[in-house]
Amino acid sequence: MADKRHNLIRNIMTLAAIYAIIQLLISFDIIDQHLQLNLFLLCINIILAVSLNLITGFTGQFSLGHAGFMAIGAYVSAVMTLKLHLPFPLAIATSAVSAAIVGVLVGIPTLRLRGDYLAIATLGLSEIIRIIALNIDYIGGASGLADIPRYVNWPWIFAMTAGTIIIIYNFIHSSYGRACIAIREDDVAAESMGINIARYKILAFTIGAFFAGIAGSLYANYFYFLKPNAFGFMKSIDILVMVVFGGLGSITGSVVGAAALTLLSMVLQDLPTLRMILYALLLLVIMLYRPQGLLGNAELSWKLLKRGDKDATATNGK
Amino acid sequence: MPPLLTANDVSKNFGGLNAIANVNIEVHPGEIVGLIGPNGAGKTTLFNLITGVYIPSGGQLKLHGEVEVDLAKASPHEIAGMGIGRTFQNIRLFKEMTVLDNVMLAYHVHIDYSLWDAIFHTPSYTKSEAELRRKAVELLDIFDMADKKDIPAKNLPYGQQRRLEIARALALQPKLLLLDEPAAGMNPQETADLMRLIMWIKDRFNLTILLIEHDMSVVMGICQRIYVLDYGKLIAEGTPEDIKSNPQVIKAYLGED
Repeated sequence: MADKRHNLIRNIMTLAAIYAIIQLLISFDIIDQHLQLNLFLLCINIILAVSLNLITGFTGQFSLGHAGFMAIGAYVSAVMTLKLHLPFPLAIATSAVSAAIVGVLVGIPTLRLRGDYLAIATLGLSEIIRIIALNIDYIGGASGLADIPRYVNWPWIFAMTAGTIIIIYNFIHSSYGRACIAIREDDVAAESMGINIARYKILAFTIGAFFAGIAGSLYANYFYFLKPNAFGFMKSIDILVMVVFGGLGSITGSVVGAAALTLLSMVLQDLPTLRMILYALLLLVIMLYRPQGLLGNAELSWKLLKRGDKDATATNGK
Repeated sequence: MPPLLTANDVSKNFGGLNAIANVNIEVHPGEIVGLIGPNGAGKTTLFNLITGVYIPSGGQLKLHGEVEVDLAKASPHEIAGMGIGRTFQNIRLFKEMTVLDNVMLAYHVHIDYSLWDAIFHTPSYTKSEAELRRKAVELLDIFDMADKKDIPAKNLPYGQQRRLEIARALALQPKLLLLDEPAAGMNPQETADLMRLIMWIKDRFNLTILLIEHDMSVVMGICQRIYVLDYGKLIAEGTPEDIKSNPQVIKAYLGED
């Protein structure tokens, strides 16, 4: 019990420290506009990767439609703030809920499908969302929406990213999360242990879509402008790559994966061709030498780091 | 005493194949009932019918608890919730999950905290999980596996994987336990231990057990009554003594010396 409280305090301290340090760096302009943009993009990618990992890594449902949920969040938020002049907190909440509702509606018929079939159905869904956006003049059609008010700052991004990670982590470490993992491991056995498979698949899908909606809203109200092609097939693949790179079934893995691939894109920004080649090579290397992803299904933690220290001292001592 | 489970004229066809044809079975509370027969006789199909994996083509399957339930109309997870636990012929553990999590998962139908509690790790979550954990460890202790609780289930030796499947089914707190070849692949020592274990858990958890087994020492040793299936038809039923001397069973399954 005392140990648990100790951990909680340490985690809160760590989060507060990360928040404060970056806030200071931004205030003193050490993190300039360009770096800040990439930092915010990184956080949005973390939200996307962690929420997709819940669907694909933990529950085992291969989804290629995550960009679609993000698009719903982005457009809902943009319309509410730009056209209807509503406050941002209301916009972000509505974005998340809208994406979640679409998640439920789509989840009910498609989650009977498995593997490749589900991937194709979810891919189709996100393309439908993109093409609908492309054809509605009210939201700008192909040219998109511009001059969306910028409400997103570091406190918003930080709170949403930390919130996503904590909530999904807590979910996974509950009986509900165990039910999702059991479905991934063996759906027949899960059902015979009283797990309503359809219900938990839809639940995971809905929670994943909810957070993708939040990511979309943050994206829209930070980057001023939106266009449907930002949410194409390649965006879904991008998110999936982060999840696979970090490790299916590891939340910290998704964080590491999102960070690594966002930074790689940033560094290679001026060399777009080389970027795609390196990207492909990196994936090949990972698939060949570490197919379970960087972290597999393990989590980075203080305990692990400490144990690493102890192991290191033990070997050094010999 | 009224029966706990009844199969009345139950049939199951796969296309033109009658996997189960007009089978009648009764299992009474507190019994250990054996189900034997040659490979392909329809034993596992009958288990799948009872647990709702398959829907019968004809006849009635009923569970008589506090209320009578038509098993043909319930889905597998509902049937599990009503108190029928099972193990599988080809072990189906949650391989990447720890031994403890395998057992804790099976308590899911009994958890008393909401999704909200889970997401925010409220005191009600913390209390429930601690209690669950204690119960799961206690159960593993009965199976002599408490020391292995934190390793992935796939790393257990074969015999222990079979035992973990039984432990997992017990966590569901079933009234009726279906065991599909629990002794398959075990050596005589392990089999003897398993028999003692089955007898012990039956009394300890107030169970009724229906078991499929090819090892005659197990079937004859612990079952009070035995049903014999051959080509989907029931060819005999009775006490182990009756079955051993039944000419039809000897011809179809046991073999003549």
